[in-house]
Amino acid sequence: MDFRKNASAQSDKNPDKEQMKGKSSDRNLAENSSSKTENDHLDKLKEIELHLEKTHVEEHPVDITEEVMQRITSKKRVPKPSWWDNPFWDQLFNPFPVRYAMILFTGVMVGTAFTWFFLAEIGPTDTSRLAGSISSASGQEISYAYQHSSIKMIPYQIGNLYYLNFVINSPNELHLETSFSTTDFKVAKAEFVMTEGSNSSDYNMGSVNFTATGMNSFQLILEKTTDAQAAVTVTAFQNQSVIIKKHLTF
Amino acid sequence: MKNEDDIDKPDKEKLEAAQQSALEDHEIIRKVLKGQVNAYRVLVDKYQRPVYNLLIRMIHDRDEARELTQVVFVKAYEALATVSGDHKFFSWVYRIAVNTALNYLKKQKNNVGIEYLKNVEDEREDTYDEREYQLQYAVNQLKEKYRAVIVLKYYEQLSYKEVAYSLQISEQKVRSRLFDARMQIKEILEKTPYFRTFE
Repeated sequence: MDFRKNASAQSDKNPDKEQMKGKSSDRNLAENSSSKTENDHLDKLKEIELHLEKTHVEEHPVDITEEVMQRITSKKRVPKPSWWDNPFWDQLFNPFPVRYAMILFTGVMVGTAFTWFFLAEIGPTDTSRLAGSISSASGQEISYAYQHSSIKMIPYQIGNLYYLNFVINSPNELHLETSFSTTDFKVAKAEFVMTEGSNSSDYNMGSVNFTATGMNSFQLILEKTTDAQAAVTVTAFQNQSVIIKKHLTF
Repeated sequence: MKNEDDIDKPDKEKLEAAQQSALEDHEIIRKVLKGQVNAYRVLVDKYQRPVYNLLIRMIHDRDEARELTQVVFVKAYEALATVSGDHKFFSWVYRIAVNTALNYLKKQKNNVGIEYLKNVEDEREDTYDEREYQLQYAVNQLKEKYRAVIVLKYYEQLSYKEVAYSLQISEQKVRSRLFDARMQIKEILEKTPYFRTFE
């Protein structure tokens, strides 16, 4: 053991040095005593190590094969990788946009559920109209992609609440305006749900506007206050130009 | 003094035999995963003894070790699909055994020492001399994580790499724990006649 050698070397060397320097014999005794303690400590450690290495380890026979096989066959199933262990899932969720979209979707759904819950509890919503299931407004979705910019919006309805969830990804600033008649709708919620970039929003009578750069998700919930068919218009602008305009009928 | 790496390095024949054995194990695993459940019997036959003996050394109770050996092989069977081709089945099963033993010890923390002493008392006349008994007593007084490195390194004679894999820690950590474990053993033994015999 190297550290042991060093310790011994030091302990041999130090007393000679002390004598040459003519130090007191008390100090020599103290040094010798300290070296002795150190050597003793190292000897003991070495002895333990050697003893452990030499320890006779008894081998006990055992036969549990039948018990194990019985336990296994009683389960009657061949081990398969669990669906989550499959590398497919790792690959599926690995690309950033997919991961982002999954988290976004989960966030939107949780946010929606909470909004619905609280509006139903304390809002002026006529809860008797909430009977029924979630339904998507087919043919009303917006899907736009050009160069590196994309806008997606799939509207859906729960009772008299209309959810417009926008997912925007654009390196350049996009401006979206959603307009409607205040006699048909009132705004229940309008806010960015997730954002990675810059954004801003504002609300005027009969329109909700937001501006976004980068990846953003904006949720607008409109509460319909009439039984008659009503229209909502979504317009997207980039560089002051209209890039998409869609009339939705609810 | 022999270098640590030299001690750990198996000779060529041993290495080839181990590689061959690992290949055979993976072939059996492949069969089991295809539905030939009975093929698993070969793996249990092959490794039950070392696993059982490791568990005895870790928990010092033969009946419990027997029960836990079964648990280890059932656990291994259930997770068989996750065994990586990069690792030997034996090392993997050892790792399960070590974890199972450590979990068991955590649950039994308060009474295992007494049990162990009782067992050792029963056996000491035939198997242990006085110093052997004192050393085993000291090892048993260590915390589970220190006892595990001592058992794996000295009793199971695993390499540092294998100990590290079994305990899921780095080799550096294994060396550091071994040093601490020996220091603690020394402190315990200093309170016994162990070193008086030595002096």
